[in-house]
Amino acid sequence: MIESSRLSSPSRSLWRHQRDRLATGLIAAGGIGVVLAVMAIGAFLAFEVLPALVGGGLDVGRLRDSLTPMAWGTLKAALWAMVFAIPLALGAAMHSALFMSQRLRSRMKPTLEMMEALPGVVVGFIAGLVLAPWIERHLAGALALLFLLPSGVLLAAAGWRRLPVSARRHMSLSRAGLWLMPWLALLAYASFALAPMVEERLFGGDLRFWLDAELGLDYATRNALIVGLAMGFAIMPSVYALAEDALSGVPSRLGEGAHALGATRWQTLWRVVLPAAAPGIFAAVMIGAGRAVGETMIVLMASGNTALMSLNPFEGMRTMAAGIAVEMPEAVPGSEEYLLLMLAALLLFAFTFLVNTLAEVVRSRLRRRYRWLGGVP
Amino acid sequence: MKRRIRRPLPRSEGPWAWLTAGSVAVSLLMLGGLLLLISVRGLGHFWPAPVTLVELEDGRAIAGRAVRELPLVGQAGSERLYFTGNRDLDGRVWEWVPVSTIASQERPVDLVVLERRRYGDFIGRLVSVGPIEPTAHPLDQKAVWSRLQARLQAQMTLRDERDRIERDTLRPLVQRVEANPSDREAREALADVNETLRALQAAMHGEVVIIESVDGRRLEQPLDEVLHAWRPNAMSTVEKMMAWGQGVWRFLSEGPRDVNASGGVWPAIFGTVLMVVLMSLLVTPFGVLAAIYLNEVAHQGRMIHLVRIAVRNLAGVPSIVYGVFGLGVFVYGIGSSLDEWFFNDALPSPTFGTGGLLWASLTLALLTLPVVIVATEEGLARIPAEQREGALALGATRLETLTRVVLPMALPAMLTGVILAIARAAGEVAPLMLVGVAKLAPQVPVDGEFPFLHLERKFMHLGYHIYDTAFHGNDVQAALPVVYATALLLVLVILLLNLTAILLRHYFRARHGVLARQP
Repeated sequence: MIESSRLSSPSRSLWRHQRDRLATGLIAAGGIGVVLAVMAIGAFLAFEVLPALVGGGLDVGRLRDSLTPMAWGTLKAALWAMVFAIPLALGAAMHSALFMSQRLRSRMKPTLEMMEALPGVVVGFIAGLVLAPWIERHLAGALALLFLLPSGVLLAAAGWRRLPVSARRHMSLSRAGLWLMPWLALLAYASFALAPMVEERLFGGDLRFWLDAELGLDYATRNALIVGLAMGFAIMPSVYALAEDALSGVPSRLGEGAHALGATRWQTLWRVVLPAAAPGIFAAVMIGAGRAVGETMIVLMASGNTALMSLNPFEGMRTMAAGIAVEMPEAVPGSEEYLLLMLAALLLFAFTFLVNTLAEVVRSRLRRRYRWLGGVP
Repeated sequence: MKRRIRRPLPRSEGPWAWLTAGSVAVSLLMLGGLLLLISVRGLGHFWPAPVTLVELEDGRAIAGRAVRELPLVGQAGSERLYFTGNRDLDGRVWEWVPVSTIASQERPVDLVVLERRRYGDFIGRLVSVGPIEPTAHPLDQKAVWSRLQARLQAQMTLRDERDRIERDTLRPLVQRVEANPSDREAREALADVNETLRALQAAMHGEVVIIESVDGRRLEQPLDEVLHAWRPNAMSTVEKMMAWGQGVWRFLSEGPRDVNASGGVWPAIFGTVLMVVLMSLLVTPFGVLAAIYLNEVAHQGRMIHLVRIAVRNLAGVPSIVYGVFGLGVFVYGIGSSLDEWFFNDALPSPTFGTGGLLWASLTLALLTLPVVIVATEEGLARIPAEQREGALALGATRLETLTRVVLPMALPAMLTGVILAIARAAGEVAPLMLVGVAKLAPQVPVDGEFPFLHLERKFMHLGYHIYDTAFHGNDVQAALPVVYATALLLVLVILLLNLTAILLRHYFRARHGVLARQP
């Protein structure tokens, strides 16, 4: 510092300021350039597709024939993923925002961040090659789990109230996420062990035959249920993180007020915190949906990639992202197929971009509302 | 009655609160289950599993590793799957055996497993080692086994010698001759080296080992195709652990064999790391530049607010869309033009006009740019305005404030962003399928030939290796262990990177929190 004051002659000062102006200009140019490059994606897709679409380069009938099953598959996969992810993610977010201790919460968040980082190709491999054949053999047990796990939790809650006080303190609700794990694992094991007997008695030995004969549902090894489970697993952490942010961002004076008036923690959550955070939760769900629509590897590996249009959760589908990944490398640039795939990419881009923008707008409004509610000037 | 009034605990919360706890438990269980499955199966693959000799009721004998057991369809009992190897004898490597038909099973110590270059594993007994000569009395197993060990060791020395000569002497000579066909000295040296190599090959080729399957069929196995031999039933736990370590090492250091279904993943590790390094070299300066512009230079108006939202949203755009962009712009657009200008003599076979390392790195750099921008911006925004104002008040220019005060403080945030970007890029497969990943790349993108780093070459990638091996192999069941091991490797790398980023962020948030609170 002393040195620089000694050196600050007029010419040097001029040089410094010129250099500053130059560097600022360069940074601005570079920054704008990078931002434009990033934005170029949408523009590129639009320029590639729209002329053909408007100019009639694409046959509308063919467009409908090949794009509709893919769009259907995309929505079906996303829907089933949301069915699995939303209860898990929102439940976990509510529990960790309202019931967990600060310490447990600070451990829970990085753990689920790790879950988010698991690459799609690994999740897809496990789902498509390990889980799918296994669930095919243990379908009854897997479906039973959907009912057994919630009722198992409630059973544990009922049992908990019969416990002596000291044990109840030790196994408190705030730690229930941890001590329920062995119990639920045991329950899952029991479900798979006992399912064959139930299957024998109710469904004549094989649930898959029964589904086919009684309800007319085909069963494919890699089906929407598997995709939903795997993709739900993949998108659950990001929905959780955003929802948890929204819930724990609610100014604490609201919750404290409700507690002071005698509300339980659940009543506080349901009547006060949740309504305040509802837009944030909505945004979290939207972002999750955007993820689910664009996820490629999981669908590619776990869906069977068959272009079927049915509501049956036990059949496969083909999504836009998976279709692009498989067919794009072989498509000749400029051909009709190439344009179709480009159009699919444009649709994916537009959908996710819109959904995310909507979510982002909602979130920033919410933050402003929290500041207002919290009384921070 | 009195007890009820004295409430020992908060009031009960009702069923819904418990259900939320249940969803935490279920998510953690799923995560734990997945990680446990991958670790156990991925690491278990390298453990020398015992080989069972099974005699069936109909008198047949098979030897193999028990893989799993399933209940029989439509009747009581179960059947067991054995990996029996010996594809050249049986034409298959798996055998389903109903458990009820097993007469006896034992684990004789003399069963050997040979890992071979062709036909996969052999499971059976050794008869004799060495050139074919009718021995009058069969050698005892122990002597044969130690001879086999010695011969394999010798083979390995020869193989290393051959590889060394090929690498250090042959290749430079070939290049010299190619560059200057009239160089007589080089030609003579080349002929000499070829002679040496031929002699080495001959020494390797001559030897055979005679082996016998448990049902008595004999086979002459050329020794130079045997990579490795072990007797799992005779190994002690310590030996097994050493073999396990060697197995892990060979998995990490060798190339794939058998249509990727066995062998190692070294080229895939190399390709992944190289691509990620190139990508981070591209993404770091540009990402930081854009973040500085958005946060420090630009006028914070409505426009910048919109741009910021847009950049943030691009992180949510599906990766496959980036792949399409990379294919359309980099490969078909820029790549084809480059080919026309600089590599015209190679056309119509494309040089840069097809997927390759450069385009893959660029695409992933674009994909991870929002991650770096957002993380860096967060770091910049966290720096208290007083720091900047103080520097400016002391007479620093904006550039000096930036380079001396703001950037050093934001360094951890940048680092976090780059690590997160690397973690994301390492696991991304979908865009790579469009811009340059290969099922099996014959050449690594780095070698001794000018310009040393071949940006136009295709490369192998761990994630794509998983997808391809698991879904496009001939025998998925046989490839499964390799897939598990590769998945474990990928997950470990990514989790480690993420953990580093999380810890860094945690540490520096705490530090900056202190800074911001100072009056």
